[in-house]
Amino acid sequence: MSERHPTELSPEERAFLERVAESYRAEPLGPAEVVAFRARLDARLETARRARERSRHRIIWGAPALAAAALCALLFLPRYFAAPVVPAGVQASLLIEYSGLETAVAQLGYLPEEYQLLSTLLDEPWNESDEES
Amino acid sequence: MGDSAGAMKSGVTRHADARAYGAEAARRLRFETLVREQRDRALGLAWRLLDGDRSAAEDVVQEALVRAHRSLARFREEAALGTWFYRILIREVRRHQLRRAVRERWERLLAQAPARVTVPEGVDPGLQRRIAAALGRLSRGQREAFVFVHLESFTVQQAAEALGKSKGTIKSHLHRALLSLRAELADLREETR
Repeated sequence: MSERHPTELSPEERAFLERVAESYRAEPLGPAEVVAFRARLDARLETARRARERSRHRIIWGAPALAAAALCALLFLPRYFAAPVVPAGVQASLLIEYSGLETAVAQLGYLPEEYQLLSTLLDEPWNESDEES
Repeated sequence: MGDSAGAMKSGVTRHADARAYGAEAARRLRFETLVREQRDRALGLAWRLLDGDRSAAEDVVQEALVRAHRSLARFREEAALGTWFYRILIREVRRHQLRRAVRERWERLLAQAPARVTVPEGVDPGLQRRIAAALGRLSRGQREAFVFVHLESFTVQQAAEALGKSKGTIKSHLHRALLSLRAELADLREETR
């Protein structure tokens, strides 16, 4: 099957294509339609321009606000999560007072080891006398 | 000294403003030329690709012009302005066809009457409908190539650039489209003999 260049059409094919092109074409715009077309185009251009302006403003104001929020989160969230939830010292002193050191240490089991040690050391009354002697 | 620095600064600003103004004016002029020179041809092309739907063709051409206006600042003269615009237009036509296909599928599902009524004004509405139907049965590539080259008189090179295909592919599409249409519209062929 040989494929010819469109310019190599036979006269009969050309006539057929001309007939198709003539029978299947849009009516050109009349003067009033040209004006209406242009008015609609201008309205669409204006709408597009306003939409662009709005999105530009969103970037101008949105980006710094987003950056500030991210910075705040970065600074404050670790502190919030790192802060001890239970005031271990107070609980330890109360526990020791009411249930004795052994029981208090046993009941402080839910705290990390360092906290357990720290709270018992801070609350032991004989630590001071040890230091003095 | 201060005055001269101020004058120099304001001179530089004025120069930059003038340049920006010049660029904007050039862009506006180019857009007006594009609208004036391509509007009717673009409408004709869109009309033929959208089965003779006049309002859809106008909508698609306007959307393509809006997109062209937005991107005109980035146009780098690597292609002719017309070819560049027709590339935008053909994307809009395809987008519209896709939306219409989805809408029609839903309408069929909901058993509604088809929304698209393509009875264009013209010489012979019956013949126009038959040609539209015959074009509609071609593949998208064949239809686009046929409309660009045989109906809108673009060269094969221009059609290839606008449609983003090789010249060989366009020629192949044209050949197959012509065979198919000659078979579909055999009576028209007989008339032209």
